[in-house]
Amino acid sequence: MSLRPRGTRAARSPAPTMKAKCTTPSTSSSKNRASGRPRRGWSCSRGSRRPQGVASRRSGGPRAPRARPHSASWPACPAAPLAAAEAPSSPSTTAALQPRRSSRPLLGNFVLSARPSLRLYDLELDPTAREEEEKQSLLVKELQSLAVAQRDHMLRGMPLSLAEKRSLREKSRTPRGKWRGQQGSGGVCSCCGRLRYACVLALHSLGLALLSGLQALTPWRYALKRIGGQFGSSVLSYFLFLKTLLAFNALLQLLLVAFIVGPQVAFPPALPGPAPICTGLELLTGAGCFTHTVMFYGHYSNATLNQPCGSPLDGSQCTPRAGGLPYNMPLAYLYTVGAGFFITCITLVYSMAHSFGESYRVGSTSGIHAITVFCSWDYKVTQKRASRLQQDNIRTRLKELLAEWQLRQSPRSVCGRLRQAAALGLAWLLCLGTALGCAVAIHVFSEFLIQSPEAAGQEAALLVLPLVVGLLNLGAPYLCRVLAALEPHDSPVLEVYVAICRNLILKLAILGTLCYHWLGRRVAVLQDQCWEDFVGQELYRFLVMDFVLMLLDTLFGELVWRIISEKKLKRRRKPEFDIARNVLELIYGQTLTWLGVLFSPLLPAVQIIKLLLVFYVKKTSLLANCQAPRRPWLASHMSTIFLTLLCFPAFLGAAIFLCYAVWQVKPSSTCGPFRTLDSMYEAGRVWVRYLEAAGPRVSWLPWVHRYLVENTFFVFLVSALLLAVIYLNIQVVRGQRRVICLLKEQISNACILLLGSALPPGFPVPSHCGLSSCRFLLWGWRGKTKSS
Amino acid sequence: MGSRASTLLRDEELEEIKKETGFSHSQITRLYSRFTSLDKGENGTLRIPELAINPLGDRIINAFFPEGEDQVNFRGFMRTLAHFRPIEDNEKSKDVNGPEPLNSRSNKLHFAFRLYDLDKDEKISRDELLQVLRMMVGVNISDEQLGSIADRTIQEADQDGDSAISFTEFVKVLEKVDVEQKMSIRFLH
Repeated sequence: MSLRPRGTRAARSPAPTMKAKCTTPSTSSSKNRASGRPRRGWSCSRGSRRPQGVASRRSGGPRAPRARPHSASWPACPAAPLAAAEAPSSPSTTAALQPRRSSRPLLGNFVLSARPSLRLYDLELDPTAREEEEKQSLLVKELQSLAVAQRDHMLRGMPLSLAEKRSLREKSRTPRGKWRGQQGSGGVCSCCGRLRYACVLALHSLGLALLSGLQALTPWRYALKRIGGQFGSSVLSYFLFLKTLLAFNALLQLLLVAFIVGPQVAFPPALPGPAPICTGLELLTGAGCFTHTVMFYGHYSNATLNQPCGSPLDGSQCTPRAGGLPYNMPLAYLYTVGAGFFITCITLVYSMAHSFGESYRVGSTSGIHAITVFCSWDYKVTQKRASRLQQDNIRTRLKELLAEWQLRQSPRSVCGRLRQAAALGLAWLLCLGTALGCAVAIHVFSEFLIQSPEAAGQEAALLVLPLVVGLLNLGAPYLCRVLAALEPHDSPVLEVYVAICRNLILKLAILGTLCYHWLGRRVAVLQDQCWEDFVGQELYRFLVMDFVLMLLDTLFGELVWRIISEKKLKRRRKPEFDIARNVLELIYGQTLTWLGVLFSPLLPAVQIIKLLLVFYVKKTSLLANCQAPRRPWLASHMSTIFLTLLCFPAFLGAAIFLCYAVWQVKPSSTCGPFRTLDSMYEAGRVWVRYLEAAGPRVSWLPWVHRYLVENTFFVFLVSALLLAVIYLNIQVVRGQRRVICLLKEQISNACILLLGSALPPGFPVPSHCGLSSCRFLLWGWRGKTKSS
Repeated sequence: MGSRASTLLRDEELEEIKKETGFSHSQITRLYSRFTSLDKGENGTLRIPELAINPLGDRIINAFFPEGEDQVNFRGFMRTLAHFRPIEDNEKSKDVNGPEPLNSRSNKLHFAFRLYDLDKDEKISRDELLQVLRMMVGVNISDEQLGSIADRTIQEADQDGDSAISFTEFVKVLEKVDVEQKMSIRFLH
């Protein structure tokens, strides 16, 4: 484009445009002049200075968000000073404002190599341009004379494009005001701000990385998610339960190692004879070279360890040690085991209550499909693997919800129900008979073992009883499962619960027989030998045998069965994971551990190793051989049920066993920390008497012991208070749930009232007091119930 | 979308955005620098790999663009992001007479509703629901089951019997969901 005098260009338009030209010395900032780049209003298409805030394609012409260019000229300088509140909307002023003409040619067409003098040529010869310039500078002066707020207000009201307003503001800014701008001074201030921002961002991302690192540390996180996504929440609950058991065992073992095993290892007693050579059989039997180690009760000394010489209580060893802390081993043994059980009890009850509270939420289940469909996708996932996992999870959950809903839709006839009840009764009878038969068989067999003379040194003979019990434990549930397959069940949840009950009764019968066998018969037989060692070793054997049989069962029950069913029977379906049986196996193993803690302080460690191996074996077998349950179902209450089963039959039984062993049974006189006492509990009494004799300084402790711990009246009082508190809590919770239900009904009634006039007659009444959850919670409250 | 914005953001625009969306000064500035840095290559398109793995990715992209246009400017960007601003307690009862703030529960739900309503007829029909489900759960599920789930969802939510979910029904069925917390992003101050 050739260079033309300014005036010709200006004559084309009805009114000359603003002079924010690139070359105007007065308008361009020193920055631009120094860089030599012409700053030419807002039509520079190649430059970087576009109007702020516009993200557009390179389609030429900025997108002016508001003002459309219209012809107006620069305002004549307002003669009177504008009041602050007066908007500059007088037609004369605003009509006089003139935006940039959009027909201005782009810089791209301008020859940059033109000499500056030529570029200046336009300006000086153009009278209208100069007029515009004057007007603009007058306006700027006027703006400068106003206060900042007024200036902003006035500028805001002007119908100019943002670019022009910006340049006006730039020009009218006082030197002091220039520093206030975000971009204005550049330099130090925004640098500080940017630094601060960078620091905050770095800290934030560090915190997030730490959090995600901590989360990644939780063991088996990915494996559990995968299992939950592929197989559903029911199978996942088994693995979560396994994880919980690991935690319990770890806690118990930590306590025992710190207070019993550690000190005994630090001060080992003299061994009675030469240590036997270790053959491989010890791992199975626990006898042999394991006998006189910290693993079993008999190894622990009955004296005070680290005792300085000259104490009347200690009879045997007297090695002079300076500055050591005496450690009363019998007392420590008794109280550590007691404290371990107490802490386990508290933790169990707490986690049971917590899981109960979570699963019985006070909320209706209406709209659960829609909420799952609309609100379950987590948009924070950024990895492909995680998004696939999420898809699996959502799909399984939707299938479970659908199955649950479809179940509720199909009722049964009376005849069908009668038939179902009869089949159920028969199956129950048979299963109970099986359990009883197993118990009797074990009793007879164990008596036989006691009567028959054991060949000395025949370690392998010790494994017979565990093997027989293990086989019975394995076989009887299969029988019950076959029986359960014959009876029809509507809901898979009920099926699992029934199977669990039957299996549980079987295991309780077996364990009860065994406990009687140990504490009743074995103690009598092994009076002058170390019966505690024997019982500890028996429990070790049972635990190991249980593990071996579980491995075999997984191998044959799942792997071989899958191969057979695929190759020989030509069925498409892989076997399903039997949750009831597996969970009860876990509970059984844990009960054995708790039974044996008193006699073998390292038994929880064995159980931990066993659980770790079980997790990996079961996971591998599950992913390879099994498939998702045919009828998916929601396992919201499963973990509560498992924990309840763990707490009530299992832990309670073990605690009763422990109490009986501590209070009633005479410890053997040749080994262990209680060898000179009548019962294990005596250790505490002996110590209290010693304290009484020690002096008046600690006389409150014997007093507490005599009047509060040994006094039965006090124990009754405390138990009665505890029961009263529990009852009150139950009533309060019941009342609160009733109130919630009533409130919900009121809300839904109010909604109906409001919508009532708009609804056609016969419209189904919506109910939002979720019937199932209310019925669950208000056991026995026969209030108003609506059909949902 | 392209971003050829300059690095200047004037105070008056800041004020307007602040009034419309409720973000603070510093937040708007941060977001502005993020916005401008999104199109580093200056070729008019963006690559956001995280959206690629998200099954509803293109719906999210569509939500940023106003009706019928193919570019978004900073105002539009802020307007969309304003839906995700957490609701603070002190602004709940501030301005009863003015327009509803963009991050109110109703506006958040409306935003979510528009993600699912493909043809913009203010109703989520069975087909749209099926499309969403198909995107969300992948392929290992039979059409019949998907159809049952869609039917059940519509049955739960639909109250006027037109076999589609309107916005009011959508709001009703999600009344128990803590939308304010789920649909919020913590913006750094």
